[in-house]
Amino acid sequence: MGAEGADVLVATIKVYRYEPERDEKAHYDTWEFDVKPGQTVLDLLHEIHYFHDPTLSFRRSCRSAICGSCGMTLNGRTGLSCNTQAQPLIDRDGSLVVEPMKNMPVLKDLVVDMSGFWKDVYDIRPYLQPAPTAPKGPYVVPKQRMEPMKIAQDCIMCGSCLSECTSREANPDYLGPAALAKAFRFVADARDAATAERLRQYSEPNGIWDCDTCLYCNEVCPMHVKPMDAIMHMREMANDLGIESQGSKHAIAFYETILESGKLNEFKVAMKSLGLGGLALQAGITAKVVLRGKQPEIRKKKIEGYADVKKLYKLVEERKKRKGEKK
Amino acid sequence: MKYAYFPGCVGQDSCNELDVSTKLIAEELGIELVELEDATCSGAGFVQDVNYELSLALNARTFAMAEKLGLDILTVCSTCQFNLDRANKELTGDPEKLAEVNKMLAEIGLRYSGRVEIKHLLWVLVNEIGLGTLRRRVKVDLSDLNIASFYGCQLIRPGSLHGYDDPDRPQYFERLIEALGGKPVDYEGRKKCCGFPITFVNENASMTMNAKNMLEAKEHGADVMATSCPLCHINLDMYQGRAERVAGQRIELPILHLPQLVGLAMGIDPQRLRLKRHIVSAKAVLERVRPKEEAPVAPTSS
Amino acid sequence: MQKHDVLVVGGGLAGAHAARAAHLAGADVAIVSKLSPLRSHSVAAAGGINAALAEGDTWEGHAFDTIKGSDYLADQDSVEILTREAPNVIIEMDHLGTPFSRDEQGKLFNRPFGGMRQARAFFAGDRTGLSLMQTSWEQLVKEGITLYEEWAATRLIVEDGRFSGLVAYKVADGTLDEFQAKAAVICTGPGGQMYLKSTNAVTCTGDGLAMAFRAGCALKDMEFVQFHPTSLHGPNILITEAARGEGGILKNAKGERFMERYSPKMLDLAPRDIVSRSIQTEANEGRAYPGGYVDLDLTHLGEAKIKERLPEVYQFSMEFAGVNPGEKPIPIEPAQHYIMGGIATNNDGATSIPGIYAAGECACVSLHGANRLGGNALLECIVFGKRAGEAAAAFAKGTSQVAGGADVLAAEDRRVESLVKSDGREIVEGLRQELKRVMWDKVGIYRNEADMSAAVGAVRDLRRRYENVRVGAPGRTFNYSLLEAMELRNLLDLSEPIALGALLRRESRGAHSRTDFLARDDPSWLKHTLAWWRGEKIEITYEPVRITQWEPKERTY
Repeated sequence: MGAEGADVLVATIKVYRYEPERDEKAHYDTWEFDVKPGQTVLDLLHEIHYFHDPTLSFRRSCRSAICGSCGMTLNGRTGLSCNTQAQPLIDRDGSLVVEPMKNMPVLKDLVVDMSGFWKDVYDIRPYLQPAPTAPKGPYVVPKQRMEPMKIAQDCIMCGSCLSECTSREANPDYLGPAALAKAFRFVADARDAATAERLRQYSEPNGIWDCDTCLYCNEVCPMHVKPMDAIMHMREMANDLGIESQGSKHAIAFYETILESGKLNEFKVAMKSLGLGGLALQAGITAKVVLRGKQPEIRKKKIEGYADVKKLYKLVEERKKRKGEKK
Repeated sequence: MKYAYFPGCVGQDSCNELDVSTKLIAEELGIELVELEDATCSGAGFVQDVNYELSLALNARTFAMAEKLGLDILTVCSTCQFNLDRANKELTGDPEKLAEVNKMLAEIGLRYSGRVEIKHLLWVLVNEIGLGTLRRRVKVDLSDLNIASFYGCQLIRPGSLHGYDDPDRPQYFERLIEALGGKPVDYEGRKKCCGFPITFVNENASMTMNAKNMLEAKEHGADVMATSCPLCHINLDMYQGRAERVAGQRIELPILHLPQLVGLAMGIDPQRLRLKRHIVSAKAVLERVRPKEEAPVAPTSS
Repeated sequence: MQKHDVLVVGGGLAGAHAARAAHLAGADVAIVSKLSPLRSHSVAAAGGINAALAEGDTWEGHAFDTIKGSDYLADQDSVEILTREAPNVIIEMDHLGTPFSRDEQGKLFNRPFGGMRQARAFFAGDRTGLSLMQTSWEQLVKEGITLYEEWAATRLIVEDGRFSGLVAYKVADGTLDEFQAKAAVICTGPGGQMYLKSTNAVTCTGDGLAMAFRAGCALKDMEFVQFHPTSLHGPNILITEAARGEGGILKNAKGERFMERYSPKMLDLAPRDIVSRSIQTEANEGRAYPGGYVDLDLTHLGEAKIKERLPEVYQFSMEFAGVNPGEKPIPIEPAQHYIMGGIATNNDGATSIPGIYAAGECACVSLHGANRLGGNALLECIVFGKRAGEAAAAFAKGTSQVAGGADVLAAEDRRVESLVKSDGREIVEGLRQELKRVMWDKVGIYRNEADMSAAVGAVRDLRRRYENVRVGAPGRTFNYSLLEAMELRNLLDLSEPIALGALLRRESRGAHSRTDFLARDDPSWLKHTLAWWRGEKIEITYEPVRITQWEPKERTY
C-alpha cells in the first residue's frame, strides 16, 4: 500500500498469551518488529508463529476476509487480522496489541470458544422455511424485493460483532447481533413463509428487544453487515404484526405519546412500560426524583404545529397502504 | 454564531437542567440559539421501532423548519444527534426518498432541500468556539478534578455517519476537559453504553453495564463524570442507586451535563446551572472548585 | 472410538452435499472437518455456478464448452451428468434459500464466463461461493447432522483392501481417536499450497488427497494445475473471473489490450489457461510491470456499478491493494488456483478402494480434463457431492463394518508423539517455503524437461529432509505448528505425483504447457495419468479418456 521501499516502522507488538495446561492466568509476550507498509496483522502473526514462537496459536485460513476465522481484538477493537493493516494502528497508538475476541472464553492465546456463538445462531433456525409448495422453477422474486436482506446476507460468522456487543457483555443470554442478523436474513427473505413465527420467537426475552442500540456491531463488522439495523427492522415488523413483549410495550408507549403531543411524555411511558407495580418497585428512585423536583410532566402540552403531526401520520399510513408490501 | 436549537424532549423535562445550562453557556459564548419550539421528538430510536416512515417524515419537518430559518441545527443529546443525522443523511443521500417525503411536507406547507447540517454542542464547542477561546474563558480552577467523560454510544458510532472524532479513540470530550483545566480520565467505559435503551426491558442488564462503566471510571480516579446525553444522564444519575444495588457496592459518582461542566468552568453559579436537581449530589465536587488565581506576574528586575 | 455408517471428511460445499444426501438416504452420517464448515475455502469462490437454465440454452452446449475447455481430456459421460443435472441444482439451491441475483422482473441473472459461448453462470453478487456454502450449511443445521468440528483426519484405515475407518486428530486438545464407518466420502477440497503463489487458503493442504493416495487410491491427472490469471498482486487473493465477465479489460504496462494477440475472439474471457499464459508471456517479454503483474481495468464501469455487481472485487481492491477500481486499474498476476487432478473416482464418486468415495475439488472424475472453466467447480461440488453421498449411503447399507484399526490408532499416536517431541534441524515453514519455490519455478505455468526433472529430485530431497523436521511447540492445546507439520507431509506427498506426471507427459494440453513440447499430441497423450503410491516409489499408469459425442478437435478461441 505504500510505495515500494517506503518507510519501515520499527514497532512493539504485544500478544496475549494463555495456555491452560500451564498458566494460571494470561500474560503478554512482546516482540520488536520491522513492520513494512502493506503488512497485515496476520502477516506479523505468521512471522512470529513460523519463525519466532511456534507455540503461538491463532485461527486463520483464507487471508482474504471471507472465511471469518481470524477475528481478534486489535488495539482494543475487534476485527479480522487478515485485512487489518498494521502500520496505521501503530502510527496511531504507538504499538500493536493483539488480543482474543471478547465475550467468549479463551481456549488458548488468540483462540476462543465459539460454541456459545454457534448455539445462538442455531437457536434462531438459520435455514429457509418455505411455503409447502414451491414453484417448478426458481422463485420469481423481483430484484427490489431481494434488497432488504442485503444488509445481513454477507455475514461470515467471524464473531466480531458479538465480541463488541455491550448487551451481550452484560447479559450472556442475549442472542446477540450475529444470530439476530441471521434471523433477519430469513425474516426479510420473500421466499420464507415463517415470518410471524420467527418474529414471535425473536421477540421473547433475550431477543430483539434486548439490543441496547450501542452501534458497536454496525461499526466493527468487516463485511459491512448492519446487525443493529436488522434488529430495528424486525422490531418494526413485530409491531406491525401486533406481537407483544415488554420491549414492544415500551416502544409503543413512547410512540403513542409522540402521537399525542409531538413530544415525549416520560411519565406516561414509565407508567405504561412498568405499570404501577413496576413503578412501585422503583419507589426509591421515584421518591428521590420527586424530592429534587425532577419528576417529569404528567401531561404534555401539544406542540403548536400538532396538526402537522396528525397530517403526516395520516399521509404515512396512506402511503403504506398504497405500497402494501411486506417490508 | 447562530444555530437552530433542537432541545430534545428529556432535556426540557426531567433533565430540564440541561436546557437551562445550555442556554446559559450559549449566551456567555455568543452562540445565538433560535429554539425550534415546534419541533417534534427525534424519535430516539423508539418511534423508529414502531413507525420508521413517520419518524423520517417528522424529522424532515424539523429540518425544513431549520432550513427556513437558514440555520444549521444544534443538538445537546447524543441520541437526538444520531437519530436526526441518520434521517438527514438518508434524505440527502436518496433523491427519490427526499422527493417522496417532500410530497408529504408540501401538504403542511413545508419543503426540505437538504441543506441543513446537524451538530452536537460538543463538536461546536471544540471546532467552532475553539479550545483556545474556552481556555481563556475559564474562571475557575478545575485542576484538582479528575473528570471522566461519557459520550453516549450514538455520538461516536457509527464513525461513517458522524465524521467527527475517531470512534475507537474519541478525544473531543477529553480535549475539552483539558481546555477547561480539568484532568480527563482515561478508561474504556467512556465509549460504551450506559444501558438506557434497555432499562425498561431488562433492567438488570442495563444496570450491570451502567455500574461497570461508573466503577471503572472511579477505579481510574474519577471524581466526577460529564455526559453529552441526557438519556445517559438518566441512567447514570437517576438510576445510580439501582446500579449500586446490582453491583453490590456504592458508586457515589456525581454526573454533570456537558454544558454544566462548561458553565462551571466559566464561573457560572452552580445554582443557576441547576446542579441541585441531580439525584447524586455534586456537593463534594463543588467544594473542590475554587476561583482561578490570577496568573502570577513575572518579577521585574530591580 | 466413534461409530457411524458414513463419514464425510471435509465440511465444505461438496462435503455438505455429500453429508446431506447420505443423511436423507437414511445413513448415520458424520462430518469430520479440520475447520469449522463455514471456514472452508468454498466460501472464497466468487463468480458463479454454471447451468443451462436460460431459454435457448442446452446441456449439450454447456457440455461441449466444458469438454473443449478441458482440451478434450474430460471424460465426456461424466460431463454429461454434470451439465444435465445443473439446471436442477440451480432450482434446488434457490428453493433452499440461496440469494441468487435477480432482475427487476424476478428472473435469475446470469453472466458470461471464460470459455462459455453463452452466458450461463448464475450468481449471488460476487459472493456465490459464500452464498451457496451458507445455504448448504444451513441445511446441515436444519437436519441436525453430526459434526466433528476442528478434527483433522490424518489417516484412512484400509483392512484387506477395504475401508474400515479413519484416525483423526482433535486440534483443541491434541488427542487422536478412531472413527469406524462403512464408507467415507473425501471432500477435503484444494491442495494448492505447495505453490509459492496460490489463491488457496493457508489451510488448503490436500489432506484428503494425500491420505487417499497413501491408502492406495490412485490420483488422476495431478499434473493439471490451474493457474488463475487474475489474483491480486501481492497476497494473491482471487479477483474473480466475473470481473472480466462484467467487462473488465486486461492491459499491459504499455496500456495495450494484449489479449487481442492471444485470443482474438474471446479476448479477456478466453479460458484461464490461455489468459494465464498470455500474462506470463507478457511478463517474460518485458511488457508487464516490474514483478510481473499487469492491469485489470474496470474504470469504465464506474464505481457505482462495480460496488453493485462486484462488491467483493471492490472490497479486495480497496482493503488489500489500496486501489479504488472505479478510478485506477487493479494490479493482478497469475497464481495457482485449482487442481484439475485428484482422487480418481467413477461417476458415483467411488474410488478403487471399496468404501472410499471422493467428491469436489479433491476428486477427479474427470470433469475438467486439462483445464477447468470458471463456474463449473461449485457445480461439481453439489452434483457429485450428492452422488457420492448417495452412493456411500447405499454402499454402507449393503455392507458390514470392516474390523480392525486399533493398531493404526496406536501407530498414529506414536507418529504424532514423535513429531511433537521432534528436535530436528528443519523448521516446518522453511521446508514449506522451499517446496513452494521449487514447484512455482519448475512445475509452474511454463514447463520444460530439465526444470521438472530437477523438481522431482528436489521434492524427493525435501521429503527426506522432512524426517528431520522440528515442530518446536510441545503442547497439545491448539498446537497449530504440529498441525502444520502434518499438513506439510501431505503437501510433500502430493508434489511428486504433480511433478512426475508433468515430466512424463510430453505434450502441451490445457493448463499443462511445455516449452519443449508445444503441441497437443492426441495420438500419444489423449489419456489420463494415474499415480499410485507404492511406498518408496510412485507408479504411473494411464487410462483412456471416455468419449461420447464430441470428437477431439483443435482448441482455439
